[in-house]
Amino acid sequence: MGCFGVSWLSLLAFFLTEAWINLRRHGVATLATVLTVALVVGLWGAFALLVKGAQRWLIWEGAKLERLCIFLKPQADEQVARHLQTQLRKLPPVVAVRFVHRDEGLRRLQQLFGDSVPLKDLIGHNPLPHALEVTCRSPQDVARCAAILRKMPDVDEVAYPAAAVERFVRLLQQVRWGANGFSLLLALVAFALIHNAIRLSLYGRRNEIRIMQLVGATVWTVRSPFIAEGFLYGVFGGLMALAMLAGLRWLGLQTLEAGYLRGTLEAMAMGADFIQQAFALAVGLGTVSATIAALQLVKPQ
Amino acid sequence: MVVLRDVTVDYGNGAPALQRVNLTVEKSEFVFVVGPTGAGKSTLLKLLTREVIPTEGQVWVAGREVTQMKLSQVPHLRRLIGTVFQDILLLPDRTVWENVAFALRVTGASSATILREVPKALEMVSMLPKAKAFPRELSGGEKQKVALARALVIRPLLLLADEPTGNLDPVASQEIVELLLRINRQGTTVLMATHDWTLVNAYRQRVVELQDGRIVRDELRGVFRRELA
Repeated sequence: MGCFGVSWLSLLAFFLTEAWINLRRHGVATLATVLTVALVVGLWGAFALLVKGAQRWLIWEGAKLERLCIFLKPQADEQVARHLQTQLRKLPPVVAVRFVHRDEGLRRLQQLFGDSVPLKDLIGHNPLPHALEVTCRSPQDVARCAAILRKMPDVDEVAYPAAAVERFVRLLQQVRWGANGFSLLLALVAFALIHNAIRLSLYGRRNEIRIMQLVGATVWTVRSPFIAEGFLYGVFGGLMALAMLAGLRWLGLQTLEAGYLRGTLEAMAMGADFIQQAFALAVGLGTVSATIAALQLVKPQ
Repeated sequence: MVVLRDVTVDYGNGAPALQRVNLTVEKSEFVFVVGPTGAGKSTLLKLLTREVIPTEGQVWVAGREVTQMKLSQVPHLRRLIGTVFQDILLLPDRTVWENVAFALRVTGASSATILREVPKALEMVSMLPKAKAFPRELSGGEKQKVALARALVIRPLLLLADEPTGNLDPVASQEIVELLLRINRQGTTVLMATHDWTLVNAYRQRVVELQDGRIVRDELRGVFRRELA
């Protein structure tokens, strides 16, 4: 007599069933909470995708912001250039290094001016040095990479669209900070709503809680259905946010004709990483908020 | 089964609810705890489930010292005790079966255990035919039987009934007490707080009488004088 063994699977099923009953019992509050979680995650996701789209768009436009060009000193011959190319490939922010022979450089310059100005005839000889085209991992790495390269003895000049890179990096940071700030604000609203929803559930379930305590439920058994409730807010909010983003993207692709905007939208694909992150954010927000509420509101008795 | 030694409970709102109470209840005993409203009956029962902690004195239940018990141990104590109240506390949106199963589910009992134990508990209180009914479809007496089944389903060593017949008509009240006596005959210790003198006098069990927080009478096969109720 007295007690039976504990089946953790049954207990887990109990938590989820009770949480589901709670969600259904307070339909309006549930909907408001799930929508807020969806809005938080949706906005976070939208900004993340926008940043991704903006990066791709700039690359397509030919800005190639992650690239820089190194002009070697006039006395550096091809062997020196090739040796430097091998060295540069080993730098962590560097993705690729291409050697540009001084003759190729002149050919490119000639293309730029057109056939009407025969550069070689005018100058008599090729004054250009050998060069290396370096591709960095991201536009944010370019300035750091340039600073390293400038210190190398055979390097004469490092050229890259510095102002554009800096502006782009600044803009991306501002967009990210703005998005993070706004998401944080919305996350606080979501936290308050989840806290309130849990409080409402507690009030609605005061008889259940009294019975649970009297038949020997541990304090965590009493808290767990509420934590599961927060988990479910996260699951539904996350699914809703992902569905909204996918729906909006699909609608845009259906509406827009080929061009910059459509290209950007096509680049804003929701990959597995993005889906995992968005879902983790939603579930984390719901579960952590509900756990804090349960810890505050359900005390051992 | 139950030992109270020099127990005082003072809520700090006037006279103490219990004053230097000493009481011993042996295993398989049936005890009526009687006395007028405010005498300390409910406080005495709440001491045993550790809902109330004594200001002074010691309380033992099933060999466990309740007063010094860690909070984490309290759920394990309560799994040994079944409780029934005047306010029946059934969950209105659950069937009779679900209400009884609830007590097992919160302690993590397996589905097999639930399927085995719930019908037994309902059968014991003759409510198995109404297993699918909701509380709103039951009479007061039937609701109390379901509450009793919920208390019994965990197979308690000790059953505490706090005014279980307070809201019931005489016939239903008699049925509930007879059920409690039957449960007691199967080995469960029963403490029933009541101020229903007719029931106490009809069944002639041990009677512990409280007045102003003190035990003023403790009689085997006792009675409850009408004027005290």
